[in-house]
Amino acid sequence: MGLMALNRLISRQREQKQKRNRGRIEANNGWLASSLAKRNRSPCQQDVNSHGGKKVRYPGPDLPEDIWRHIHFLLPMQDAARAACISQSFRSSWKCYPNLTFTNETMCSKEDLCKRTTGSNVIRDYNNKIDHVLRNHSGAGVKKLRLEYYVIPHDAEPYHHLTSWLQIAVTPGIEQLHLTLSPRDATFNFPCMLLSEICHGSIQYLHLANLDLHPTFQLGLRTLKTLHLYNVHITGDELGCLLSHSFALAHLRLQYCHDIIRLEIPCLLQRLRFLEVLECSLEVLEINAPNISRFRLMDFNVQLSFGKSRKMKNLMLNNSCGISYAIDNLPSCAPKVETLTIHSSYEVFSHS
Amino acid sequence: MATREAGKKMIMLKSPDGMEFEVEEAVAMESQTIRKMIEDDCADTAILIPNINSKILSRVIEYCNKHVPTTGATGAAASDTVAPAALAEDLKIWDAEFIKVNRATRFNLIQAASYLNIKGLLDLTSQTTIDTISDNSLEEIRSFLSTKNDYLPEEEQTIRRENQWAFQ
Repeated sequence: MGLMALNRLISRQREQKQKRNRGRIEANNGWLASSLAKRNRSPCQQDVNSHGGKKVRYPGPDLPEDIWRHIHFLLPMQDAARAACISQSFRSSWKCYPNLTFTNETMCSKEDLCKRTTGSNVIRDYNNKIDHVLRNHSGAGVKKLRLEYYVIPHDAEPYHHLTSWLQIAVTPGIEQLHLTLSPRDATFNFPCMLLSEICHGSIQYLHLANLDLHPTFQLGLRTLKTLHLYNVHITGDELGCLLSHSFALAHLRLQYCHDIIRLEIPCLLQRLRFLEVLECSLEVLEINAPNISRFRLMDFNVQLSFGKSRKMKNLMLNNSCGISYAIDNLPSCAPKVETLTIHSSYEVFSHS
Repeated sequence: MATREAGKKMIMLKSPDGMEFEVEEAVAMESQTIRKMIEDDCADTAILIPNINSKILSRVIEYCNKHVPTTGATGAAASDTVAPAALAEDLKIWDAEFIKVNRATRFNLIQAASYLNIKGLLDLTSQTTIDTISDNSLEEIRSFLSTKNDYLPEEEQTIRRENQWAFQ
């Protein structure tokens, strides 16, 4: 917020106050008509001051528009949608609401919630509500998109809505994307171009579940800090493309990603602190990232190779040879481990 | 005027109605706007806070005094003896009392917090307004905000239909 602009605002407000003190009724000192509303107008504000050709005029609390917008954006999504019905200006700011959360909890009535979005009609109703919100959203300013997408059984175009919603809501500047498909055997091929072209400069948190992800080129997600893949069809090489420039990555969790056979965590991931590989059917796991402090492995037959990791403090191994691996390797490669948990039901080991 | 008192650097803040407040630099720097002025060496003389009257400015200073970190150089002794959790709980109770003000004062505080860029105070003052919007009917909210319903009847029908899910 520029000081010059604020000072101009302040002097105008003072003038308005003086006018009021002189007994003149000044009706347009509300947040819409304030000088602040007239500067820095974003595309989604353009219709704010015109209303069927006549200017909107009403008295309002003496707060500038950007503060009202700040307050509106702090509301949970359902309350923010209700607030859109207060006035034109709230409707205009609703079009730029930044934290879109479409889940059973936010979009369904308690009655439908009990049905857990299983029947086709319940899903159609759920989709219609999301469609209303997104078709009225400008697309600008979305910071977080969380979407639980339910596939309608036997639908001819099962991912028609999903494709168009992603095109609307995934825009430059988005920081968090959390997408879960249902059922688990959905076959949606996530459009990698969205990541490489739209959000490569801003995305920090990416959580994808129950879908296919097949990047064939380097995506360049330089700002990515957290990646969670749950039941995602992706190979080790494709994961390499996904993380090719993700030097900011701090948290990586792979769960039920059965297409990954060999996985190397490269030493270029210097900021990686937390690594979890859970039930992925891996054969080989090679960890070369040097600063991991917490590592959880739950994969029965994986062959584990561990570079020097002086910062490892918390380690959980659920693996067919966890005990022998820990005894043979950990004292030299991870000497600072504070907590070690091993699950190894069938391992036969004798130590003298 | 920036002066020193008992080893602490002091800053003079002036309100437009002519009142002057001498505060510790660390307290004034709870405001990111003032912090920037001090860091840019624009604070040799008294700092005029143009749009905040003395009544509101004194409340803002009261808030900053309470919330300035009490460890290190600025140090009141309290933090040496009180556990952080207890301190946080104490602050929460203090905040709840602090924000028991009328609507006009609250809006003035919101505006001051926004101008002076004091995140904690902006969050606190905004939250009480958020609670009002969350808990009341549209008419009650409009009345609280002194906002008129400026929708044409057919427009209102459309917007209500679009957002019907939010009223369930």
